[in-house]
Amino acid sequence: MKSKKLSKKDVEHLAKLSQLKLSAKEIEKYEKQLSETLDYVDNLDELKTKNVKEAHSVTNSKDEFFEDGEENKRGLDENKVFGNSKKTMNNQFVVERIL
Amino acid sequence: MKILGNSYLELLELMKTKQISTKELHEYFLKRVKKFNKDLNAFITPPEDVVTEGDMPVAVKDNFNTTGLRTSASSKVLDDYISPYDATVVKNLKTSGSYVFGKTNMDAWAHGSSTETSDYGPTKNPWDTSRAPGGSSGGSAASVAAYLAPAAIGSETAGSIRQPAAWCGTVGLKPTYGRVSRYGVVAMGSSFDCPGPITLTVEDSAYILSKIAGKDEYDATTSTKSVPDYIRALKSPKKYKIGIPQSYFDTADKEVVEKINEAVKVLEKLGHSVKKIKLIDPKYAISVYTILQRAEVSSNLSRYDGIRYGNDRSNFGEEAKRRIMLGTYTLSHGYYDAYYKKAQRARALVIDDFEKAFKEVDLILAPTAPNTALKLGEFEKYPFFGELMDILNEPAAVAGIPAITVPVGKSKENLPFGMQVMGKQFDEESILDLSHQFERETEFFGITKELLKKYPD
Amino acid sequence: MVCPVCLGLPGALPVPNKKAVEWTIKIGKALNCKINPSSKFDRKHYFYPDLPKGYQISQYDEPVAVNGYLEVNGKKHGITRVHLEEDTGKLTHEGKDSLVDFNRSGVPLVEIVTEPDFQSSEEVKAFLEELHAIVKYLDVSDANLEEGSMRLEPNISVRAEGEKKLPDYKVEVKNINSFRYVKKAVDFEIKRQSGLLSKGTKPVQETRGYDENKGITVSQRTKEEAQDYRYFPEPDIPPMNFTQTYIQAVAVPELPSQKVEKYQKEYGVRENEAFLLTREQETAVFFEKVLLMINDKNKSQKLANVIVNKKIKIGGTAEEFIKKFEETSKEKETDTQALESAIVTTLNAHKQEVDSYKAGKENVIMFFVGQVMKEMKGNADPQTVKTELEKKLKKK
Repeated sequence: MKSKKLSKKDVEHLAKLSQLKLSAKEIEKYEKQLSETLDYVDNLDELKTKNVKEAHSVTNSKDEFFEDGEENKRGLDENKVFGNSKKTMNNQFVVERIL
Repeated sequence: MKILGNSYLELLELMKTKQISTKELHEYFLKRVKKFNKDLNAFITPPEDVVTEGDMPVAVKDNFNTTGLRTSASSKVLDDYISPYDATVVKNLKTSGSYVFGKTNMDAWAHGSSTETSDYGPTKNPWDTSRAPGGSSGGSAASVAAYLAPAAIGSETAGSIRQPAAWCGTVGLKPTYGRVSRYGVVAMGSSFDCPGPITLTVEDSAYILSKIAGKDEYDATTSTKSVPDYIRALKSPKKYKIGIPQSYFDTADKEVVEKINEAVKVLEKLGHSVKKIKLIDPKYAISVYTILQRAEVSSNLSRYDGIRYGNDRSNFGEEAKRRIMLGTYTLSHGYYDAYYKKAQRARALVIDDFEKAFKEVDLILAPTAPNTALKLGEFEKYPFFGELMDILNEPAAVAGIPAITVPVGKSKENLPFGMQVMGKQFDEESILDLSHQFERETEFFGITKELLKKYPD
Repeated sequence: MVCPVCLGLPGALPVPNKKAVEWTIKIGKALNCKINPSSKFDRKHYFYPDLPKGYQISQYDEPVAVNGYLEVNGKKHGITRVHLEEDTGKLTHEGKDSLVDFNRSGVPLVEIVTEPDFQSSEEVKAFLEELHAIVKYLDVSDANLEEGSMRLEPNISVRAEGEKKLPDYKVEVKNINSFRYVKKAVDFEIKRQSGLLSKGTKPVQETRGYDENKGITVSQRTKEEAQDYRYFPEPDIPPMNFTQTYIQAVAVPELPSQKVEKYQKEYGVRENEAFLLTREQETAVFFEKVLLMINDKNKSQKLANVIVNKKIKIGGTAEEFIKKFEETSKEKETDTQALESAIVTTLNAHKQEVDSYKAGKENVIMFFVGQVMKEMKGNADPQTVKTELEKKLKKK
């Protein structure tokens, strides 16, 4: 199979979509490694999948719902909610100004 | 009171008959952790000095949320994360009288088959500390193998319980997908992840499974099927039709194949029948798994932005970044059909393939891994970091069927390897039964006891 | 109140709320949609601080309901789809920071999408007001625009007169919290876009925010490439199958438009009052209850009037209301003696007008009625006054 090489631009675009910052060296390395993986998975073309229905899951589960009960058993109090955050204010999480 | 080498159930019995107390047991294992963990790095958050509730210690993989001890999934992103809630598995263990005995090391985010991608250093294989224990539940497998804990909880997406259990000479069980709740397990591959036990005996495995399995209202993918009494099932052994798929033996080391063939003869002697079957080449399962898992990974790791908890995305390691980007690619506009959709269709074929096979046979037997533990650092040489090492585990993961690994032999370098038994969905009873019969007949050739000499009290 | 799921904590898993799914079907049925026999959730990916998981659980290609319509003022507006998704957190801004509150994160949100078949801002406003009334009748939401439990997001584009094809762009406007503002925002956009188009510039496809103080829309996103949401089926939630039995069992009450028709056809209430009575379900139900108790269809229009014009408050019980209602009718019952003397006084005081009447100018009677009413200080039933006057004038 022809190598489906990802270009530098492709990798940069992926990094942006994934919110990851990559160094130039990393971009080069991933270009090669990701292309290799994509080459390998091409082997699926050897299987006859055209008219097969997608398996969204391995189970036949359907209609699993949550019914509201009397008590909210999973509610977290303030210090549990904010305990792991680096910056909070007025019971809210703080980020750099958007817009 | 000699504790060394006793199984979880044997220790439980000693405790019930008041021959040991929780305090004694805890101090015993804690001493061993303090003695050996610096060399093995099986635990990245060691057990607490004093146990405050519960009777029996169980080591827990660091991707399970635990309220007392940090949960990091071995990643710097969650370096200081103290979870405000317990995973359902952890809650169930506590309800049944166990407690969390430290958090074990893993491949960061469960991305790997060697525990080398951990941001906290690799775990060493207790059989040979220049080698990897396997992964991603390497810490859990090593802790049980070196008897730093009587049992451990691991998780498997594709091979992450079975492969390290095999490389460390222990018993490892991947239950049917949906048998055990994933609520509170740091998500890796949402349609693959299965929490499961790593133990020294099959009975221990059955026991722990019975404590953690069942429907969870917090996890919509858990099954409503009732949980059978797995221990009771072991008391009425049955005879099975066992299928042997040739394609699973083609890639395995000669020594592994030899020993498994010997094991098959043992099973035949016990009255089971053996039949050659044909299954889709596992290499396709690798592609299905690689595409779908990485797509799910890229999605599941999107929540780590450092705002509500943890550190920002610049803290992701190399493997995590690689998997996120590949996943993003296969889901992106224009590529979804060629990759994700195609993989989901191929997945249906793998599921079908097993269903067909299980019409002919009750169980399927194969090597757990094609080889024995690699030396630390060797994985890097392999393309996409060891996914190929899990080739024999990926089909069962893709189909969501249960599988157990048991020690079956050692290589000439004195490294253990395992044999896996796969069964129909929700037929853990049969795979436990067959493995238990094998254990009673062979005592796993002494493999599970051997390391006790290397790691004395 | 937040939990691990709505905060997007590691390991948290979503489970769809049973009522929320049922109510989505309810809304779909009320909007004459086809309820899909199988439906599922999908993940929609994008990064934003108010989106804790980095993806929103929504529905992509198998929504709960499709292909419905809502008729307003004689025009049937198409409903493309009704689907269920989860709400995000709330982002506010303060100085150098932005703050995120996750209290509403994960709350079920029903999205109703219409076909692009509105031709004016009046149509849009009337449609949304009718939809709002329906949602409140269904009792599935507070539908409070100011609080954000119902959000209006019009999409506007402009094409040349006579052009049949849809324009190849559209502008979405958010942050509108009243029906009045929806109309203003749409009008503003039509004007703004027309202005651009007449200069030969195609308006940018974007999301804009409505500024109610300035009465304008403002661009909200910087120039970005189109979002790639990378939808894929939500692996944590098994798909849903809705049987015919289940769908049929989801009860939809009598809706405003059905009541409007019934009030006119069966009770003889005029369209205007019928419409006003049915804007709020409580009012309509009260009207029906009182009418049933009075058991006199002839009084229906009067009753409607009284309620619509708030002549008697509907805060209390039906019995209290009926009592007051009967009283006002009674009050108009005239004191015949007083009326007799008032008529005599009036006719004697206006002999010229009496002659006019006798000469044939019959509408002078209304002048007399007015004078008698004045004399009676309003304590007379005008109809009775008129009748008595006529009798008197005939005799004279």
